Amino acid sequence: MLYVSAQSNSSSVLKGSPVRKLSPYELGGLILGLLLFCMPFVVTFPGLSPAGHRIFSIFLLAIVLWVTEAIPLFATAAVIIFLEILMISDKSLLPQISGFSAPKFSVFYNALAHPVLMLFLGGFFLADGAAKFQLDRNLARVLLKPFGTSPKYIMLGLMLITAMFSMFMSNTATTATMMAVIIPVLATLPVQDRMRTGLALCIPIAANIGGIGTPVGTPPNAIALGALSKAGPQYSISFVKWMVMAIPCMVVILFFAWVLLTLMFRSGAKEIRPQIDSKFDKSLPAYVFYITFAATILLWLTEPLHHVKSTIVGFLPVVVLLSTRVFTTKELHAVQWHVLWLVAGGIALGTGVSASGLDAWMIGLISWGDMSPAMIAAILCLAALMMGSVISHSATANLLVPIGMTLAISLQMNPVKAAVFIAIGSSLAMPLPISTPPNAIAYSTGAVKTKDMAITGVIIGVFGWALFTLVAPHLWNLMGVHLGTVTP
Amino acid sequence: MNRVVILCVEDESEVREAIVRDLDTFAEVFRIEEAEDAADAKQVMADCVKDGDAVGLVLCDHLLPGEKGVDFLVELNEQPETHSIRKVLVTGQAGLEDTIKAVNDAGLDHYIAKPWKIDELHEVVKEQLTDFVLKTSANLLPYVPVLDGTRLMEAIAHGGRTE
Amino acid sequence: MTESRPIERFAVLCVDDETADLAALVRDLETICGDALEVDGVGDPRELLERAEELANEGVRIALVVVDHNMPGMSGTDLLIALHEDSRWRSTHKILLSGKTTVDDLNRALNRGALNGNLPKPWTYEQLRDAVRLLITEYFVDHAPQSVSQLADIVDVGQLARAFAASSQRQITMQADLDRLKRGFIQELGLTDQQVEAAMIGELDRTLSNPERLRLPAGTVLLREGQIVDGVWIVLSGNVQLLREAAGRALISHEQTVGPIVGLMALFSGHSAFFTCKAVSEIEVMRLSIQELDEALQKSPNLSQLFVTVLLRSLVRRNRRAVELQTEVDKLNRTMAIERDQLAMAVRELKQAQARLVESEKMATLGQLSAGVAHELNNPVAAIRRAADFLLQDIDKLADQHPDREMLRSRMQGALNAKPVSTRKQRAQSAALAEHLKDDRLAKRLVKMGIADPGEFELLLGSAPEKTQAEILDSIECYYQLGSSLKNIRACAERIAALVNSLRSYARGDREMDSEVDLHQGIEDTLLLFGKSLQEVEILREYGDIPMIECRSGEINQIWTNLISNAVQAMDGKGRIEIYTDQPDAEHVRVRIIDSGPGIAKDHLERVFDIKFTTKEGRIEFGLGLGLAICRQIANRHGGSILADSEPGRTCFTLELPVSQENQSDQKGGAES
Repeated sequence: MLYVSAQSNSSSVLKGSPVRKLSPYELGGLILGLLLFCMPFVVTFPGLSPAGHRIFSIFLLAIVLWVTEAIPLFATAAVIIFLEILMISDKSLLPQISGFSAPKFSVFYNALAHPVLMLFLGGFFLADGAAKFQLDRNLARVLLKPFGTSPKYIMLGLMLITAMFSMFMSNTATTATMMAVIIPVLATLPVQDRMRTGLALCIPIAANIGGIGTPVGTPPNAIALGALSKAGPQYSISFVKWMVMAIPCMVVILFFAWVLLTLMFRSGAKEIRPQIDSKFDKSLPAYVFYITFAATILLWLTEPLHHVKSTIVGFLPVVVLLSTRVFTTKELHAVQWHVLWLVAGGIALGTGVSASGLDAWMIGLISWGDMSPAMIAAILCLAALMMGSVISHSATANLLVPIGMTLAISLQMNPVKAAVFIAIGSSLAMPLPISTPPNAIAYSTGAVKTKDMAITGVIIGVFGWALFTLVAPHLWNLMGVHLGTVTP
Repeated sequence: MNRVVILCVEDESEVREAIVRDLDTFAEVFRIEEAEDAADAKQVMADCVKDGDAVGLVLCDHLLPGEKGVDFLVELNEQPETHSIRKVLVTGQAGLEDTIKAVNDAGLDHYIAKPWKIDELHEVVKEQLTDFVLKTSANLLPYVPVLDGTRLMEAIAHGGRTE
Repeated sequence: MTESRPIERFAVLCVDDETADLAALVRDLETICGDALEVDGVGDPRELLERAEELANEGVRIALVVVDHNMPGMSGTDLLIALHEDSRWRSTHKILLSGKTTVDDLNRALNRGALNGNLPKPWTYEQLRDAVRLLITEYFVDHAPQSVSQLADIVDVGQLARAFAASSQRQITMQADLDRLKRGFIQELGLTDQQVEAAMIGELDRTLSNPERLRLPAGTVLLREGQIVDGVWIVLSGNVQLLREAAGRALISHEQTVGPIVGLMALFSGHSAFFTCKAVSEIEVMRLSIQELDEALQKSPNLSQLFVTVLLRSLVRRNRRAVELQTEVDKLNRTMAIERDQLAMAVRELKQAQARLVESEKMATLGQLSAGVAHELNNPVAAIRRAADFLLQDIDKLADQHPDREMLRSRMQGALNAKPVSTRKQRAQSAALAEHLKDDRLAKRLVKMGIADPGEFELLLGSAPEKTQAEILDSIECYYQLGSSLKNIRACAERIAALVNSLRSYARGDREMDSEVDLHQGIEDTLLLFGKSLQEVEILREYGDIPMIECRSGEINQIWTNLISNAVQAMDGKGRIEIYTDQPDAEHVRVRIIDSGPGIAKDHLERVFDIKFTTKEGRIEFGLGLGLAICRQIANRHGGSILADSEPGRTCFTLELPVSQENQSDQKGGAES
């Protein structure tokens, strides 16, 4: 299911099984995917265009593969791009459909170099550099110092730091980094002390919540931004605008989670002392990195002043760190390109879906007219929350964002709201160990039981969902955030 | 199911039983196998390969009937497919010469003197297996509860980002 | 301390244009002159003149020149004439080397008085030596009498005396009193030392009108080494000694050989004293200043004759003493060398003896130590054994509270009585069980608790629901492990107890005879103590029916240890050891220990018992040295014997011991002395 990999994927030791055998579950997923893929070729859906039938095949296949993970998520993304080119591009192997202006095949390839991916790439470089120079580890320890030794406040400190890191680094890396700080503490607490669970659980929760905070916080955010920028320039959201929209509610959810955890897991220990010694790297490359790191984040935050797009700023650390040789081929290889491909797959799928009119057809299946826009936004967010609880957050966003945006546009509703809510909804999905890698990491310590995780996850998810759908739009209005004019 | 194997090679059954029982804390995650001499150990390793499991750690006595422990470890070290196995000598009888040979030619990773202390045994096994899984395992999470969690977490933080 | 060499320097110069001849000449002259004169050789007449000039400027007097005749530029004769015409070198003695000199040339030089000797070319060493010695002696006596002492090394005293005599003769001739002097000198040769001395003193009294006599106490220093001398002491009665300081210590050079005139040598050479002169008893002396002496000698030709005679006699005495001393030193050196060699040998032997002693002492100490340790170990071992039994009883009682007590008890008993199962068999069993249960971890666990049969498993757990199944399994596992832990404690305690017993009987610390010793037991104990070293050695025992014997069992065990350890080492840890025991006759027992090692060469066989025997190659280097020597000592001490016999692949050591020591006491005493 979830697959958290170490740097080296060498499986030389696992002799005799260089190619992993498919589990029955995965095999089933593959067969189901192929069956559903074939269905639109056999069955004709009334009201769906011939191009829509073809993309519907791909869409069904993508759903099954992303849900079952019969093949890796990023492989599914590659399959989507390839099938779109083979089936609905101007270079399609299937006969061209009259009356359908087939997109150029390069459009689908372009998804792999979408500007949002460049933004993300910049984020990766910053996170990788932080790891390389142990900035994350050292910063975490230094920042934890002011929170004293009371278990309650240590937990608050951990959550704030985790959330802050998670805004710029991947949720998984942040969780693992913070877990490394807290594992020695867990070992000193008696097994029956509930605080162990609280401490182990607060980190993935804070990481998931923190991911909401910036466009680079987590891939669903990128997927939403990518789709919005395709939908029209008036919908594109700057780095700072995203933060203004997301952070106030994020902070509230974070505090809510903290209160919840302190109520649920009271400590038997009077005080705990995490290791907080830190040793900052003072080499020249480290300083180059520190400066690059600070400059990039500063430029992202000051976009309204200089109007250089965050997607362009995102390429700055790439250029600086590579040209100063702070990063070499080794670090370049270590970049998690497969995450970028997963996002690209979602963008390509969205392009195909909207070009073929599949989205409109699907929306037409349900009569949405009776519902208010707020209601629809709430439903989209809830759908993301539920889907994200059982499948990958990125896959959730990939599947829901194109449909949700089309639905919003067709109902004269602002698509920004739809995309953002779906992204945030998926980030709030954290009731199970399999929901997100951070949860899996916390679960692996043995200090957290699934029941604890489910209770806190559901409560925080529902609270977050309610806060965003009910309060956030009003807050945005108050703060004067414009979501762009809807053009039908 | 691919598991990492801890192999304990010791000819005296009382001692072997004691070591294996001391390794109980690792039994949840690792497959623990025992052998009474080098030939037996090789048989066990062949079985493990057949089951798709990988031997990660060999705890070996020196004075064994037949091939000596150090020679067995040297052999493991020289073969590419067993080179990466962590090797620990648990013995009271190896002379200086044998120990030097073990360090130089067998790539010995640790030496535990008999009578061993359980804390020392746990610490050594934990560290050696952590080294091993960090080098060879794709999925580190199952090892967090029994091995060095901090090192595993740092490795995950600096390597894995799949969401 | 000032340098003891005479300050006045003399040189011998030679010249030859042929390099080889020059080198030979210089070498010969150096040999002849020793340290007394500096030798210098040049290849060209002009150079010789320059060199002579240089030496003159340095204050060096040239005693002799040796000149080749045939030289380019200037002939030897001309060179000698040139030198002779310079007043500085007029007195220098001159030798001409000539191969084919014309009589003319020689005459020319001779006529001018510029030639003192002529040698043929090629010369012989003896010719050169005699000529040089003669001429140098003459030169010194005539022109530098004060430095004549320098010649002591190179000229013999007789020659010197003759030269002095000749010189005196010449002087006396000049004073027109030749005949008397000649007669007197010869007369004096017949007188005793005392008579000559008395005559001299009388003459001194006469010429200087009774100079003052001084009485000085013992310990008075007349002259101090290095002091400037301005007169002489005439010792009239009492003894003085001449001392020189070396390395901060006064060395007595002369006591009996001093003679009555002290300070003359230094006076003659015009420099500081060579010796310190000290009175050893109360002395009566006469002090003569240089002027007084001069005055006396002027006044009385007789005195100078007597004076020279006394001086010569003391010089002769001193010289003889020096030669005697040298001989003495040589003799001492020889004696010392012999003693040194003897000492080295003694040290070597001592070292070996010490090694033997250390070895046997070590064994004895080790024996006492291990006996002590073994004894101390008995208590904890006993406690462990008992504790295991108590645990068993208490667990048995605890089990009463469990509903399945009978089953659990039988499980625990099963574990207690379980035979060790090889890991191979365990794996086979768990594989078979896993086949049946479809759960390899459970199968392994079951096999570990002695449940290898699927039927047995069904019987125990088959009907129970899954949850209770797990509980039952946990209890069974717990009791089974209790049983096997207790079994292990008991087995290991037994092993320690056995080791302790062996150690005690092996290392019996006392040195008294044990009356009834079972050799088999000793051999078995030794084998047990070798432990894992014998892991790859096949031991074949053929014990005959032998009686208990009287011996020191600790020592006999040492023999087993040495023989077995040698055998194991010779076989490199792998092979076969055969042990046979029997009785060759009623009074003796025989033990043979045979190994399958490479063997010992025939000519080495007897020497393996020799302490000194070690060879770097072959099997002997396996530390046989002392071990076997000790074995033989022990065997001898018991009135027994040990022999070695070897062929490749079979080396046999045979030990024979008497059954009783009664008739052995004399042998024992003999061996130990």
